[in-house]
Amino acid sequence: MKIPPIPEDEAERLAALRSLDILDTPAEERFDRITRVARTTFGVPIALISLVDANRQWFKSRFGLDVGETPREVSFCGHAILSRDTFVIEDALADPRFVDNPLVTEEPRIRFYAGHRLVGPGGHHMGTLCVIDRRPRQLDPPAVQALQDLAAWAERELNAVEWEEAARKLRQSENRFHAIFHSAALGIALVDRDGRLLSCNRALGRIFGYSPQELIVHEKLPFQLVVESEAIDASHLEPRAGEPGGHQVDVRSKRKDGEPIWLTLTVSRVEDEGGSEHFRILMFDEITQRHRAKEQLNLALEAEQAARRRLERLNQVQSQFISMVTHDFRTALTGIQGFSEMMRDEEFSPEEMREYATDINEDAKRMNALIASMLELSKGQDGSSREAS
Amino acid sequence: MSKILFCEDDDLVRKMLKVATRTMPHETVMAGDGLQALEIIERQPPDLIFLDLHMPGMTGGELTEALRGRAEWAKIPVVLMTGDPDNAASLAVARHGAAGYLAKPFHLEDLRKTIQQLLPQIAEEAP
Repeated sequence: MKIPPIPEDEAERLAALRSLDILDTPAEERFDRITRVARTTFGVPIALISLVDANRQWFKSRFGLDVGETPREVSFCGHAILSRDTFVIEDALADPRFVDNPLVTEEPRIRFYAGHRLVGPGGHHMGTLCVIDRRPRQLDPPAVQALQDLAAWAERELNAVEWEEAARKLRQSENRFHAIFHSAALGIALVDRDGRLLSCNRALGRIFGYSPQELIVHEKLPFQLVVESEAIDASHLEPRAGEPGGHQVDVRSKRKDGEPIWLTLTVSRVEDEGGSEHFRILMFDEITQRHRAKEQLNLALEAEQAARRRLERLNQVQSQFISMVTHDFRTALTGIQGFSEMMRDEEFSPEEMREYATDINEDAKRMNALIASMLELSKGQDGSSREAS
Repeated sequence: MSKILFCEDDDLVRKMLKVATRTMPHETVMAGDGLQALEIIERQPPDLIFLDLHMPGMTGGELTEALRGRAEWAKIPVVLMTGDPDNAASLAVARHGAAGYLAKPFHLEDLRKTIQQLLPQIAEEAP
């Protein structure tokens, strides 16, 4: 007896088989109807859907056989899964590989076997759909075709679990994406390379003051973006090489109602499998509040600097004024001191005395005027109006 | 008789100086601004010059420098009269090459002493 060889992809094959979660599950009508059709079609006593596990073959569906599984080493199916072609043994007793096989020499006394492999996840062969008879038979080409058709049917049922799961996961992933897309605070638009709008989320509408319906009826995004006083549209936003996270730029735009807004725009491109551009993702982060706060801060800083400059100028004017006043005081005092010392120490005629006293008085008046203008300056907070004085 | 030039833009101070020096044994000449002073110096160079530091037009400092630039006038002592604080006055003396300064307001005694210091031989002749 020839023990069926182990396929080269055995480890992956077994992993794929396990991933179907089908081994040792109860019989199911969707498989049983296939073996029922097979038995009738070929007029055989036994029809099986057999899955080849590590050490056994296990029957998901069986007609005409009492046991649920048999050892892999005596199995016909272990041989059948090695090939893409239909595996046919017309007379087991005439075949040295099976002549002493216990399944041949004892119950169920197999003489004829025809099995076609069932392809599972990853293209690995999971098992077979096979028909068995207790007498030798031949299989003409139309019959082989029929067996293959039934096998294809069984294959679909086998993988249906997988498909359902994949579809469920895809739906889940889509729902998740949809939720993220629409609940995101960022405005997101998908546009093709010509700037045509493919899809956009609710936040985008909210930011620009459009309802989602209004946005989607536009062929292109219905607003203009301005980068440093240069107007652009979505098709001009070139994602740059070397910026895998997308190219970021601060832009100015207007809401539908004309209200100006500021945004940080991130542009990234999505490529198809061939590496050419599929579409662009534009993400808008509204920064109007931040921008306004920054502007106000700048204004406040400018005002503070202007105040500081004014104060410096005022200080300068004041110190110039003080130095000027000091000089004028001292000049006037020079006259007063000189004349009074002379009047004290020297002899003068009454006319001269009167004249010099008048001069002293003149200087006293000048000093009084100086004091008046000093008081004027100290009253005013803003010295700029007196800069010229 | 030695000659002293006073250059002062303030009329009353100039008048006071004229009266104060009337009994001194020197000829005193008064100028109201720097240009006037230069004219007088060119006509007949004085032996001692008192210059108000702050004058409109040519300042006392500029005039001093102009004198220092001419060989025949370079030796004439110049005294700067100023109401500036002492440190600013000292600085002006050094910068412009003056002989000294007289801080306004000054006592007439200080004026006399300054003249005596800078014109000693003539001062000794005085009674």
